[in-house]
Amino acid sequence: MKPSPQAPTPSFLSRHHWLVVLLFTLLTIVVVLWQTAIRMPEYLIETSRLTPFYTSEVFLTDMLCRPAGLLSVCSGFVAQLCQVPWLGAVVMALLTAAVGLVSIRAFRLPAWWSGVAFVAPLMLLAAFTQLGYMLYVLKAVAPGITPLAGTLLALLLFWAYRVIVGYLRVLHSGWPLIITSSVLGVIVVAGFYPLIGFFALLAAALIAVYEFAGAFVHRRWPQLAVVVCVALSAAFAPQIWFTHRFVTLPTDYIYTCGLPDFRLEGDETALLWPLVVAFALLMSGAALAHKAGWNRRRLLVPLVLSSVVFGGAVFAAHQFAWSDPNYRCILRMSQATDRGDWQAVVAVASESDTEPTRAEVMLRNLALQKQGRAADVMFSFPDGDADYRAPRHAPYLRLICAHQLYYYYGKVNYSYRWAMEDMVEYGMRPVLVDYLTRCALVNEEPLLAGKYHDLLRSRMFWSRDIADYNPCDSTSAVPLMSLRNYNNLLDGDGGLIEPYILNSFAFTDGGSREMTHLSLQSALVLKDIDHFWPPFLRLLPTFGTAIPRHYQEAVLLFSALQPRYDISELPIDADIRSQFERLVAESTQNSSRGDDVNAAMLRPAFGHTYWYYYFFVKGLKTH
Amino acid sequence: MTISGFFAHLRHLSCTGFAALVFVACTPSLPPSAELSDRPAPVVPYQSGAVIPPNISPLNFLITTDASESLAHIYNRLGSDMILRGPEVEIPQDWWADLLRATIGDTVFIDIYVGADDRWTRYPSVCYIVAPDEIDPYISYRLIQPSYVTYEDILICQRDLRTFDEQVIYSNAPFAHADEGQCVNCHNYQNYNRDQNFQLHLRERLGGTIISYEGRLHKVGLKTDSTLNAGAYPAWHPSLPLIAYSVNATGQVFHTLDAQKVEVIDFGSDLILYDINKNQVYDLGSRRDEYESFPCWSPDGQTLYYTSAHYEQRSDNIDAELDSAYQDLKYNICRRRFSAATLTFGPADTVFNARAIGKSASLPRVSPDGRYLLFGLADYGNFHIWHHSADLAVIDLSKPADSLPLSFRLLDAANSPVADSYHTWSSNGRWIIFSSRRDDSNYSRPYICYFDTDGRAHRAFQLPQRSPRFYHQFFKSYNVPEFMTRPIEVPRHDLLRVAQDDAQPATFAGHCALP
Repeated sequence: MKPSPQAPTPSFLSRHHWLVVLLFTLLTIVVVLWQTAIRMPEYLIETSRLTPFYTSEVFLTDMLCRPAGLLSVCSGFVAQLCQVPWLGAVVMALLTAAVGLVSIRAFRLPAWWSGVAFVAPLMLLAAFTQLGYMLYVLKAVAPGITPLAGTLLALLLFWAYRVIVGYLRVLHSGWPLIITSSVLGVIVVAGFYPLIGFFALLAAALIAVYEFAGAFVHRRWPQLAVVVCVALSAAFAPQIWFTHRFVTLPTDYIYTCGLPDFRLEGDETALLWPLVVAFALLMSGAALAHKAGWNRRRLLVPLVLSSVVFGGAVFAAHQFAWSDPNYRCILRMSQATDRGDWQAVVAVASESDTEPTRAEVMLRNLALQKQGRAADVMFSFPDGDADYRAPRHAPYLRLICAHQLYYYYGKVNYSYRWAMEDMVEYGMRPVLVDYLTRCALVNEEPLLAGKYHDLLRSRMFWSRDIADYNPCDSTSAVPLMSLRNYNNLLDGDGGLIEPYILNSFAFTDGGSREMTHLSLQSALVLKDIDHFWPPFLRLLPTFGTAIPRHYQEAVLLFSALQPRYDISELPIDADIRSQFERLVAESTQNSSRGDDVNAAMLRPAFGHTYWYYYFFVKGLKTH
Repeated sequence: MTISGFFAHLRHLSCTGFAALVFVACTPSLPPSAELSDRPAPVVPYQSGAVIPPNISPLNFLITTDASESLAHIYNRLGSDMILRGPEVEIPQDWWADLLRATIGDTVFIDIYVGADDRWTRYPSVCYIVAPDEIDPYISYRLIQPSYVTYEDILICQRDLRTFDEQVIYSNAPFAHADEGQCVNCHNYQNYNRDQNFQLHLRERLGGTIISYEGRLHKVGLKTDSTLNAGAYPAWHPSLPLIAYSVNATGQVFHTLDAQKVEVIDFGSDLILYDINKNQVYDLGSRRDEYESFPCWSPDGQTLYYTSAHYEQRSDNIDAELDSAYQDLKYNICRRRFSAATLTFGPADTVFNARAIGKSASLPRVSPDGRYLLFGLADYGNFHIWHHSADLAVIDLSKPADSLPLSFRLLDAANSPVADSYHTWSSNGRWIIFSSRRDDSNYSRPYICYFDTDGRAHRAFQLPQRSPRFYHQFFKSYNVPEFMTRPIEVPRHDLLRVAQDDAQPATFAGHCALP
């Protein structure tokens, strides 16, 4: 019977079952592209910025000598492609689809169940998109991508094993087959553990489950010997490799190297769920790989069921992905800061309608200062100390932007220091190497700059133009020189970036005009009247008739609070003066009310002024 | 052999195999004519004039040229020669060993040709003089990124100087757990590790000092209630089960502008003596205004040399005070006689008054024949690896004792404009290995210089590596290079096992210095 083209029937599907596979494959690719390139391109770029991958001989040799080295190199390669988001997304989509397609072949899933085969890869995608701030604190290379790449390799190993054993089964039976199968299983574990770490153990687990199920399905009990061999090799091979070869492997990660280094504590445990679901599904697939009698006639029910499961997986993948608007802003601001695109930084800050984190505030103020607008508008933006919504407590401001803030504020040694400290802790992240290069240039260390620069150049993509980056040319550092006009001293930030920057400028006496502005602005942020007047008086002759708005507001306020100077001759705008008088009047009138009530009441009229900041923005947790 | 060694061998074999094929297919030959340049040969590292030992691994190098072809012609006066194509010149190990053996006391020449087709340029020969004295076959060092307070992935390695084989003695990575880590430092040997007597410190997680003595491996805790801190910089007595240590209250403070970046300052330091057999600690008399550090025994074990800075505290907060007065901490070199019978030290003599010349000395090391005292000299402080002014200097100890303090001379041929620091003698006293930051001012590299029988140092050469690009691509410092006549033979997993033991706390046994 010829099927109607309008209504595909099971018989049509049975003859064109590849169409079903193709449909789910394409859907998976679309989902991946949507979740990555479209929803979070800045996240892909951040993945690339934070993933150490270089093609230098020493780097590659070092990586390959570490457990799961091959996997790290492959994943690092993919991660660096994310510097161009659409490219990274396409490669990730292909990887995700490949995991699904290989699952279908490895587990001998019929096409009408193929939707289920794509659930595990979608969970692995979720394991990447859920990470958010965890990208900064995980030490594993490309922690979001290794599960995908590793699972693909594990499935390929399992598939190869199944095919080889299937072929051998035609030739041999009994103990020769069992011995050969066992040897193959041991080779998978012992031979591939150094290359792909945990995923060799995953492959071993798939083999063990497959053989275990086979023993039951076919009543071939001696086959359980293969399971025992594989299990024993999975237990001991990593220990042997650790004892005799892998000197740089923490004992905590002997069995899990290659996986993201999650800690099983607090909210972080939840990050394991997508991986657990994915691996459990793969195990089920391996157990069902012996099932021979799939009903080839009842197609519609499995198709509908697998579609529902697939849809659920898409929904779950969407739900798992991080959705913190602050994080998105931070990524965009930080990446724009790398480029020195101050307009973009301020634009992101302006678009944000949530309470900012300190990182956003610091990056925004830096951008305003670089634009020369800080003295007029820095207090008109919302302030705050929103939490970094991360499952692990860590100094995120430092990790995200200490090297950037210090560099652009001219404190190059401190930028170098934190880039170096973080590089030691988390690996040679390109973004850190970038700042090490810049700092070496400013410090007039061309040989050192060249060393870092050559490392960066060995990547396929890096955002900065090589021409801007000539390690023998320190003129690129000239814009920072006006911020370095002071005497050297010994100091330390104790890991508290924001207080250090503010205090060091507020307590600086003299320096360039740019530094004096920074001293003044830092005194304003710190609400430090004593350190306001000296830089203000130094800058006063340069203002002419146009004193920046926030300085005018501060002059009126501080003179009212602690009269020291006659400000009657200062060119204060009439509307600012009248606005201040109105504030005084309203405050006096409402003095009996609490701060919270006053803050809410005064915000519409005065929320953009320094006065509002001075009286109502309090107790921020600076880091 | 480590995995990296395996890969390196694999690479070497493939290179050698490929080179053999190429050799058969097209043996490079020298161009018939070449214009002689008056500029130095464009090679990295450029170290023409260095004196090298007859048992050192090949000094591979990189020819830095934009030209399409480059050749290196390596030869001696006896007719041994080899032509290798550049730019990465990796000299076959066996041929090199034969060449050096045949050239002892004479010169190895390397001519560099750069060009293409019939237009070639030849540069003046790079020359290496082959010394008659062998170098100790092994060194050990710590590989660490030049960070400040973080530490991760620190390795203590040993290297066979005759080949490129490197082995890991200890790695701190296995003990990294969550935010806790372990620092490992101060590997040190009795008598160049002739008897497998050595020690190393573990800090933070599972902290303690691992000591291997007479075949016994154990872990001790050197901090007592009566001493300032746990033992830090060690010095094994040459024959007795004794180790002298400094105990330091060390801090780091950061330069805001200076490219030296950080100051490592001792806010207090003393000397102690540790008796391995009794697990007892003695102090050498702690004075608040004397900052003693870096002990070193004379080869006969009868004198202890050390550095000492006199500093009188002016406020209640020494940390804050030294943050601004750090340049006032200037260390002299002192010594005390030691009586092994009574386990006592005599009064201190100042051997070298660095303060008097506005300088500061660090890390005294007496030559195995007892004649020379090698030390680091910089403008201030004692952690000279961060000081660009740090240079190596020697004092001739054969001068009569009544001429104290002795005069010094800088080892100009070996020194560089940036930090030349941690140094040690080979067991025959003819070679000095030290850490230098001359390559890029930030990453320490091991350099070796010949110290001849007349007490003259010669131009230093960099510890050779198989790949000529290695140092440019390697982002760890070589820290505390030490010569050894034998490698560490204790298996790494034994060290890891002992590292997990609880440290046996040492007991304080009183003072061992005469007033």
